[in-house]
Formats: sequence, C-alpha cells, structure tokens
Amino acid sequence: MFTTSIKNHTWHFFLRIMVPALSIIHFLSFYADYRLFFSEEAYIKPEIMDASLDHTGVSAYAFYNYLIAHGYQFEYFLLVKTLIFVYILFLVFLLFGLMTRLSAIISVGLHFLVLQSMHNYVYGADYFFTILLFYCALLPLNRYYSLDNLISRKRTERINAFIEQFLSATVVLRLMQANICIAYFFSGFDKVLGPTWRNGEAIWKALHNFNGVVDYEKFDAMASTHIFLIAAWATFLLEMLYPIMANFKYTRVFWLVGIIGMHISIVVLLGLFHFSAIMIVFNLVTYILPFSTAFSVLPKKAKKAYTMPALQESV
Amino acid sequence: MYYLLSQKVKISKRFLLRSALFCFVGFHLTAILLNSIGGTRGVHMRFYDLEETNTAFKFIHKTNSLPLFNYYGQVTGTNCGFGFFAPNVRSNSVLLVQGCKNKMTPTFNTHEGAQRFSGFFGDLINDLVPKENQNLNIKIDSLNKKYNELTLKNIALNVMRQNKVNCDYFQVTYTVLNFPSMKETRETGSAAVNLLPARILLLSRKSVEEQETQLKFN
Repeated sequence: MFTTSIKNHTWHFFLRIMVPALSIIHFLSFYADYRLFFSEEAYIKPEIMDASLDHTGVSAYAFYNYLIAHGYQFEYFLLVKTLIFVYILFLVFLLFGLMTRLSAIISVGLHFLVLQSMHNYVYGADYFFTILLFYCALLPLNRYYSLDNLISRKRTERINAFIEQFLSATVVLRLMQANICIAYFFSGFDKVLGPTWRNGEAIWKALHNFNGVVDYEKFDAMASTHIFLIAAWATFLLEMLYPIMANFKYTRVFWLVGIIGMHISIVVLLGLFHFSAIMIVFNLVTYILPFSTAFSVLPKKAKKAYTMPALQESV
Repeated sequence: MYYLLSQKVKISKRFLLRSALFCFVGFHLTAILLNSIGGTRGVHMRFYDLEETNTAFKFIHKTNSLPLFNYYGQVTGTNCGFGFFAPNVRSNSVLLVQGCKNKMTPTFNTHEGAQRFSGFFGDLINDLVPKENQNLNIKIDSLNKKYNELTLKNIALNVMRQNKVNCDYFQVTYTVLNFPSMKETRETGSAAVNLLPARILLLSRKSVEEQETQLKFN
C-alpha cells in the first residue's frame, strides 16, 4: 500500500542539475539591484542590517570588518559581489559534477554567508534552496554523467562507497521525504489556524495585493462566487493531507498533480517564480522520480557498468 | 552484573555506523519538527497578541534558541518556519518620502528585487503599525521596535539619496493598502483600495545621519 521500494536509483541526477541551475537563476535575477541591497548606497546600510543579526555564525559584514582591521582597504559591496561570484562558480561545478561533494559543501557555506549579508530580505525560496543544497552535500551526486566520473570513476565510487557505509542515498531520500511532509503539513496547519483561510478571504487578499503580475480588478466580479472559499480549502487540505496522500501509492500521482498545480498557480497569480520552481523540484525529486523507471537517466548499455554490487544502494 | 561487566563487549564497525546514522537522522528530524512546532505556535501567539504560558512550548522555544540547534538550523535550513501566508495574508504597504516638494518611493530594477524588499517591508510595518484604536503616536518601547524605527528612517534617507534630493527636513509616511473584504465587495460592488496612513514622521536629515554614524561606531 505504501510504496517503499525505489525503482529509479538515478533520481538524484535531476537534483544535481536543477538545484544549482535554479539557484544561479535565483541570484542573477536581481543582479541589477545588488547595489540597492548590499552596498553603502543600499536602502538599508550594511551596518544597520548587520546590527539585527544574531551572529550565530560568521557574517559577511563581520568578515569585512576583520579584513579592514587588518589593513585591507576595499568596499563592502566588492566583498559581497565576490562571495556571490564564488558561490555561483561552485554551483556551476556542482551542476557539471566537478568536485561534486566538495562543491556542494562549499555552496552550502557560501549560500549561508550570502544570506546572512541580506538576512532582512530572505524569503521562503531561500530557505528551500538552503535545505536542498544541504541534501546535495549528502548525496552521491557525481554518480551519473559527472566530470568527476570522467576524470576517475574508480576514485569517485571509492569515495561514494566510503560515505555510503554511513549514509546511503536512500536514507537521504527518506529524510527529504520526511522534510517535505513536515513542511507541507505545518504550512497547511498554520493556514487552518487563521480565520481568513477558512472563509476564503486569505486567497482574495493575496490576489488583491500588488505584485506586478495580475490586475486585481479582474477578480472583483468573482466576489459573489465560492471560488475563493474552494481555493482556500483546497490549498490547506492539499498541504495538510500531503504526508498521507503522497506516501499512499494510489493517491500519490493525483496529490502531486494537485500540489504542482498549486505551485504553478502561485507563479501565475502571485509571481513567486523561484519559490514555486524549487518546490516543484523538491516534489519531483522526492515523490515522482525515485518511483518510476521511466525517468531513469541511464542508457541501456551503461546499466550494467553502473550497477555493480558495490554501488547498489541498500533500502 | 559482575558477569556482564566482565564480558568483553565487541562493538562492530557496522554497529557504530548505524548508531551514528540514527543519531544524525534523529537530530535532523527533531530539529525540523521542533522548529515547525515552535514556529507555528510563535506565529499564532503573535497574531492573537498572547503571551506564552505553556511550559511545553516554552521548552520548545528555548531548545530552538540553543546555539547548537540555531547554528545547525541556519546552515541546513531546518530553522525555517513553514507558515507561508499564514495565519493571515499581510496587507501591502507603501513608503512615501516627501522632501523639497518631491514625492519618492523605493524603486528597483528587477521584479525579484522589488519582491524581496516588499516582503521585508511588510514585516517591518507589521511591527510598527499601531493596533486598532491605538494612537498613531505609539510609544516606541522595545529594542526591536526601536531598531525597526531606525531601519525605516534609514530607508527613507536612502530613498532621498538615491533620488539626489538634499533636504534638511523630510516627511516619511507609511501607508497600508487596505482592500475591502469579499463581503464588502459583494455588497458595494466595487473593491476600491483604501490607503490607511499608519505612521507619519517628520525627520531632520542631520539627526538620522547621526544615528547611522553612532551605529557604525558601536
């Protein structure tokens, strides 16, 4: 009833391509506004932004102050731009599978550092990029079509096999599934607690907020219909029941279509492209790709070479 | 007991690896769950203006703020709350800066930039907007509110700088865009937006610049 067996062991190849690619697009999408976010001419000056940081870890501004105190003279903006450039460089390495695991670990660290330097402006999409980059660091992402494999497949597999003694790709997949289930359940649960979600006003209000994507006046004519009430209930029911329905093999596909449809609506109606894109990737990677051989990226000829006993992942 | 202690316990590599795996998986899932529960409860209490009295939730909040959980959460994303657009969808707000007969608002070159700023600005305003029936000249008491007020002044000053306006005094108004509810729209037939000025500040450029400098050297 509840599917546990993984049919497509190449599922994480899609993760290796999509997470870095989307993250690069995500960061470059506001390149023209970097000066307004990170420089001394920013709307919020770096020192004011940094003052509200809880300083759990190293912040870019603290690092900048350290360098200045040691006699290096340059603009803070240059440091942040360099950090973003290096971050994107390691994402490109990850995308092509070059020093894959190391690139993923460095990307996690740099992503953290860059987010710290703009922590006031961080939103949902950034958190999900952090989550998925972390899982990228745990997975043997260089197993298929990677530059690491091209350089030395033997060495790549030796390292992967060593790490998989402790943490196999299957365990990471289960962790990712648990993570996405908890995320959707609490997202739905938080909505149910608000009275405006239960009467449909929340969807009405979300569509009426200026987002530069849709003209809110188009929805006024629908005020007398029940469409907003149905949409609100559909949203939190889809989210709250996700942990059950996505794990139940007969309802999985319908639920995933519903959830992906919800994210496409978020893009079309609210303009949250990056958030929806990363959530769709998260859904596909955790509940669609591993359970269907149709999405296997292995060419038939290579199947034998890749599935030698040492590489098989235990369930 | 003596018998048990005298036996040589063989700990295999497999056992050690399995134990480490269980510890990691257990810790990771606990971090996600505690943050989600704490986040949901925190948002709920803030939304209804309530103070936390439940011991279990106090314990969860305390655990979440432990350096280990906090640091781990920031790096791995487990500290992320999942209550998007909940429990209520926030109203949009607009910052208007007026000085030397100019009217200015923060502008961005990209949709993503504008969206990031609008999300942050909504949070900022949420904290500064007086509750219903409260005087607009609300007393700024908490450190957080003082910081938010300073941020707001800084944004206003930088809006002037971006627009190359050099006024000694300027006025900052932040306005909440309030849309009629569905019910009101059904009754009246139109959904014209109401602009509710939530706060108006008259500021001197010099004093804001002094505050900026003070913060830089502190």
